[in-house]
Amino acid sequence: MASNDTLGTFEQAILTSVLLLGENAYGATIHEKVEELAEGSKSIGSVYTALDRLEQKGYVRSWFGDPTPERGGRAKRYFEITGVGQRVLKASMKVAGNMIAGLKEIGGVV
Amino acid sequence: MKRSYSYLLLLLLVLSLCLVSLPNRYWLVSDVLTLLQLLMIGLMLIDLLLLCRRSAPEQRPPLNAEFLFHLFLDPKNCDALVGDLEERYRTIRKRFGTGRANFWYWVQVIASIGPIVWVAAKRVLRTVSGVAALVEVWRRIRS
Repeated sequence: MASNDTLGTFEQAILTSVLLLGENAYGATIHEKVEELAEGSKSIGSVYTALDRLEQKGYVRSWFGDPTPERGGRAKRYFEITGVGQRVLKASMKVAGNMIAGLKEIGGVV
Repeated sequence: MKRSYSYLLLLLLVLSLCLVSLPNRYWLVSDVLTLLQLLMIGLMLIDLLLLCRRSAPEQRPPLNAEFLFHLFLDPKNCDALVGDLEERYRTIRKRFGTGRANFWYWVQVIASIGPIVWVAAKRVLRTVSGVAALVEVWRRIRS
């Protein structure tokens, strides 16, 4: 996968959430974290579709855990960011940082 | 209260009803029996209520969304997503109560179906357009 691919804001929030959560990164926790980072409500379906898209691009990998009684005997789907995903996220953050620095120079909105 | 205790109460009630038609000179016995009958009926109602509460299912989310998601997701992903929804539902219900948790669940299901259906539709369209392209190529080869 090309490391100069750009990420949308939502995808950036998802990759950041996966990175921050570490071993505890599964559907429900990622959803909660994304809502916290994005400061707004997001549907869990959109989080899942975005995670599938990121997995197809090779930025995350997923696996299924054991079913638990707290979830009605349903398994969790865990996610982990890959090396490529980390590089792409870093590149996106660098671009965001450059934009913020540019706006600060002209006394802009930031 | 144990089930056997309930049956005993029922048996005593039936026996006391059989004795209800006593002659007038046994009015004290009759009154005591009536009071006992009322007490037994009360105890049986309490037992029934406790039984209903014990066998009441654990509070579940308001809508069985599993079927909706099952239409468009593979079983494993469907399981994981519904499990996540239920997990978050329980957390919200503990904190904010059943009403708000139910509302949150409805909103999540309705908002989630859109992106999932769109992805499924794109997959189908890609397959259909791929097949259509192949058919077109075959038609041109033949003509």
